Amino acid sequence: MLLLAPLGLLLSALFIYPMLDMGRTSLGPSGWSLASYGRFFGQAQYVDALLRSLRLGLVVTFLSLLIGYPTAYCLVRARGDRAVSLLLLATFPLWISAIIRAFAWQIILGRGGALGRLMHHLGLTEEPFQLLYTFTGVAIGLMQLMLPVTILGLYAVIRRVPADLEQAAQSLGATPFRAALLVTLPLSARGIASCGVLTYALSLATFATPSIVGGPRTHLMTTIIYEQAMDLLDWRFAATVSCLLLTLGLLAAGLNIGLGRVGIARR
Amino acid sequence: MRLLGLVAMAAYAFLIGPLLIVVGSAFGGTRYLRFPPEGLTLRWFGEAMAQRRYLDALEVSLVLACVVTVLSLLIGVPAAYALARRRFPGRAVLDAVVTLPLVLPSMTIAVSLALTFARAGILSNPVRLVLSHLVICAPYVVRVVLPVIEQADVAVEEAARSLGASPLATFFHVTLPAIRGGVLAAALLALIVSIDDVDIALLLCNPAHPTLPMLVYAQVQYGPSPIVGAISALLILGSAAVMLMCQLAIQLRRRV
Repeated sequence: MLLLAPLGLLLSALFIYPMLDMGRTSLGPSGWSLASYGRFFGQAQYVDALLRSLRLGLVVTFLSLLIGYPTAYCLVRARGDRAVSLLLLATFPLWISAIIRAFAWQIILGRGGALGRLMHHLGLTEEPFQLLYTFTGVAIGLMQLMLPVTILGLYAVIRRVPADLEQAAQSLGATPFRAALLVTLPLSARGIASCGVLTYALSLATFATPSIVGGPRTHLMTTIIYEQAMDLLDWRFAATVSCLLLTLGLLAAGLNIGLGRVGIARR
Repeated sequence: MRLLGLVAMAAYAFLIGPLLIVVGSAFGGTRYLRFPPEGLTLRWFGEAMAQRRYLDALEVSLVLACVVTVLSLLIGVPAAYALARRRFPGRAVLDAVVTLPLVLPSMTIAVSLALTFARAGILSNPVRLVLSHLVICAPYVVRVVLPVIEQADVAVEEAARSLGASPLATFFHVTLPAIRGGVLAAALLALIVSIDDVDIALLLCNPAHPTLPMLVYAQVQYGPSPIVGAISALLILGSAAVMLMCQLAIQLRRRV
C-alpha cells in the first residue's frame, strides 16, 4: 500500500481534486448556476467553435484511418531491415515537437508559402493563395500530427490478425489485394474503431497546431479555452469550456474501454 | 497491392516532407522563411546561438524534464509494481484513473491546475511546472512499466525471498534488472513528454522564464521567423541522428 501512496496522492491532489474544483468554478462563484453554460450555448461563435472542433475531428480521423491503414498494412508485411527502417521512420515525427510541425505548415501553407508558389508556378492558380488560417489548413496540420499515432495503433491491430488466414484465402484463388480487403480488414474492424476513437479524442484535445495553423479566425474548443484564460482572464468561462471538452474526452475514453481496449498513445 | 504501397509512400512523404522543408528553408537568406530558400547562409544559426534567451529556455526545459523524469520514476515504478503484483480492492479503478491524464485534453488539466494552484497559493514557478508535469509524466511510467513487470517471472522473486533476501534487496537485485528495459523506455517517454509540453506550460509558467516550447510558440505568432527555423532545423537534425543510431544499434544486434 505504501508503494501506491505517492501515486494516489499525486492523482487525487493534482488531478481529481482540480478537476472537481474546475467543475465547481464553472458553476459560479456563489451558489450553483448554469449561467456560464447558458452563455456558451447562447452565443453563435462558441457553438460554432464546438461544431468546428467536432467536424474537424471527424475529417482528421476519417482521413487518418484511410491513409493509415494501407501504410500500417505495408509495415506489418515488410521484412528484415526494411521493416525496422520503415517503422522508425513512421515514428520519427513523434520525436519532433508539435510546435515545430505546426511551424512547418506555416512555411508551406502561408501567403507566399511553398504550396501557393508551387501551384502558381504550375499555372494551377491565378492568385497566390494561402491555406493558413483556414479549416482545411488546420485539418492538414492536424492530420500530420495524428497520422503516426494512427499508424502505430493500426500496426498493432493488423499484427494480431494471423497472416495464415490471408494465405488460405490466396490458396483458394483470391488475389493478395482481395485477401487483404476481405479477410484482414474485417478481422481488424474492432481495433480500427478503437484507433479511430483515440485519434478523434486526440484531435479534439490538440491546442498548439490549431492555434498556430488556424489563427484567431479558426477558433476551436482548445483555442477558446486559451483565449479566455490568458487574454481575457475569464477563468470561470475557461473552466466552463474545459468542462465541456472534458466531457467529450471522457465519452471517448469510455467508448474505448467499451471497445475492449484503453488507448495509451499520445499526441 | 501496388495501390497500398503507393498510399504508404504518399503517407511517408506527407509525414517527413514538411520536416525536410523546415531544414531546407533554414539555410535561406530572407527575413521571412521561404521554401525553396533564396541564397544560402548559416547566418540564422549564428543569430539563434547568440541569443541568450533560447539557451536559457533550453536550460529551463532540460532541467525541468530531468527533475520530472526522476520523480516520475520514483512515483511510478513502485506503483506499477504494486498494481502488477498485489490484489486489493479498488485496483481496477486506480488502473483506469491512471490512464485518464494521458487521454484527456491537457488544456483542461492545465486550467484545473491553474485554478487549484491559485486557490492553494502555490505561486513558485518551478514548483508549479514540476507538479503539473508530474501529472502527465508519472502515469506514463506506470503504463509502460506495468506490463513489463507483469511479464517478469514471479517465481524468481519468490526464490530470492525464500533464500532470505529482504523485499527491498529482491526488488533491486532481481526485479529491477529484469525490467530495466521497460524502466529505460518509461524514462525516455517521460523526458519527451515533459520537453514537448506546451499546453500546460503556457497556462502555468511565468512567461519571464519560459520553457523552450513556450518561447518558440510565442515567436511563431509573428510569422515564420528564420531564427525559429534554425532552431527547428537543429532539433530535427539532432533527432534524425539519434534515430539513425537507434536503427544501426537494432541492426547490429540482429546480426550478432
